[in-house]
Amino acid sequence: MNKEIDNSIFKSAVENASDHIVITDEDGYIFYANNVVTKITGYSREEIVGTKAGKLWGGLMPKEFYVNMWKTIKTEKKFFSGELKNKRKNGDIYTAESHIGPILDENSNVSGFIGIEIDITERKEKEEKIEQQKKYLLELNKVLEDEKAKDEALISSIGDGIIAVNKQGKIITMNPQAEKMVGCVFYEVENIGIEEIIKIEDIAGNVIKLEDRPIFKAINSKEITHQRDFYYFFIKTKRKIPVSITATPIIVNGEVMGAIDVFRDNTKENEIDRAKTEFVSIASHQLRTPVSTMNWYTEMLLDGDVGELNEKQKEYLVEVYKGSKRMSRLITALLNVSRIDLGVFAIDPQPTNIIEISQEIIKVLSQKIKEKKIKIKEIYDKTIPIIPLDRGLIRIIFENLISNAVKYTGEKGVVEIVIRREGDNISISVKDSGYGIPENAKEKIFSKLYRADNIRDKEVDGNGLGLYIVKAIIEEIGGKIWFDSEENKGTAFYVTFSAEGMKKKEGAKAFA
Amino acid sequence: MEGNINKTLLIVEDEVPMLIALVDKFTREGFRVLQARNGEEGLESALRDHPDLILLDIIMPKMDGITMLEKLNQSADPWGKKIEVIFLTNLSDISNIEKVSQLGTNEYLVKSDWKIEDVVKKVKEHLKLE
Repeated sequence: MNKEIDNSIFKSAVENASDHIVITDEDGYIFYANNVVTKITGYSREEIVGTKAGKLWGGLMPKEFYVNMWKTIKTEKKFFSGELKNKRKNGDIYTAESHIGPILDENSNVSGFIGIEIDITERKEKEEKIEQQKKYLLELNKVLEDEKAKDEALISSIGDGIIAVNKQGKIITMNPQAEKMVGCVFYEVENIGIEEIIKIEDIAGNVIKLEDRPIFKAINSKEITHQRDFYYFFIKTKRKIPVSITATPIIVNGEVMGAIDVFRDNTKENEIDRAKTEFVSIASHQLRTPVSTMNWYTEMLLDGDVGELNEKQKEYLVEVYKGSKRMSRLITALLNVSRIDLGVFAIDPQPTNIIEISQEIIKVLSQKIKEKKIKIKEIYDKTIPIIPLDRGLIRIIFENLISNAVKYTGEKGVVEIVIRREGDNISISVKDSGYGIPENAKEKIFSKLYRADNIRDKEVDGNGLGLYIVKAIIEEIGGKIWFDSEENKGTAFYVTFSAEGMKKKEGAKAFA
Repeated sequence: MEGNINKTLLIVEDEVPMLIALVDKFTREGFRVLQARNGEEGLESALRDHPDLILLDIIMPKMDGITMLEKLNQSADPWGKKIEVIFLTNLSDISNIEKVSQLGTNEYLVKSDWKIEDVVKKVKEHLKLE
């Protein structure tokens, strides 16, 4: 190749360079501009040549900028580099990275200038976008940090103990309350199995197996698990407290990552419960004795034990007796309700013939049935087996359903009692031709102390507790109760429960 | 009124109106009736008078009914081991019922559930008078 590079090669290189290149004379008048100048600025070569850059695309920067530029290139004869804003012919503003320098002759005199610019608008835009994103991320980070701080404050101020474990049951975090109860700080037990710091026992003091702990149940079932009546024994402090536990699985993208164990110290609640139970038992003793006494004396008077009464005396005394009996029933019902509400009632299954219980209850109600001339139909499936049932509970169910049917049916009505076996279940229905339950009362019929409007005038003897108790008992033994009713036509209550009977449940109190 | 029944009944009950109701009722029925107001008095009377049957309240001051029966069972008097007792209670309190059934063949009845007439029937049944 020729060592002397041909002028035409230089010219072509400059002409087609990707950067904007202009050459001016010593006063700044442009006498050369390459192709890209037209492309970037939108001015034609004819418009450009013979003009100053400042008249075309320049002149947007503050005056000092240009003063400084001229000083650098003209006086100091150095290259000036900077970022500046220019204007295209169509008015668009663009950002250019600009390098301007003097062209010197053999005597180092300035004979002109060369300006090279790169349109960096796109780059600028990208940079700006990145900057915005950065800002956004910083803000987001701040928000998250705030949230995290809030969550942490929340978690540490909660009175419940919180321990989170991974899938293997190793501790991954705990709140200060849990630290306090457990008796050590988090970093001492990080990654240690939860069973190494807390033992769980049931009421009877049996140690709960690992897989039966609520937290492992939550991990294995992927479901929130609640547990009352367990005791936490903190191995380090050797302290045992009754707790209610809620274990929630941590699920990320459908996969269990671990679980959170939230536990509350129930010591105080249990004390209050006990105080309530004691109060109920004392109150019942106090209330029942005088009422029983009244009943017995009234019975003796009515039986003529101490002399015959005249008709009016008898009539009055019958009212006294009715009132006193009603009070007895109310006290019994209230006692049962409080036992349900306290969750302390016991179930004591004994081999039981349900049909006999139904017959017994009908016998007890025979006087009222006779008075109202109600016809009782009994349809019993003879194949009903003797099954383990708590007789007290079954009696309460029949007593309430049958006495309600009799109570809320007019004279000469019909009450039909059916006991059947249906597959694995015992099904009982008590149907009457009575007043029925009004539409607006149906929803509330099992609510405590609720009595429908249509029967309040017809029948004073009712306390609104019977069906509440019945439903609670049936649900406790895993059965179902529902009804059909139409006003002035009658009501049918249906009950089903397993033919296997009831399971024994220890509790503080049997039903009264 | 019903003619004399040659049986002695001890009623132990701290609630005076209830005690009087029972004493009057059983007296009218022709029983010989002894009464006591607490477990201590009841124990003394039982060991002294050897009644045929004791109607025994559970919750009482000084000595409760269950303790009284335990003492009777443990006493040197061999009579104390075969005594017939019907417990009277106001509560179907499971712990009490369990204690009662541990003490042998004794029965209990919940006062508020029973008419006084039925208490008489129960006693007569127990003594095989009916």
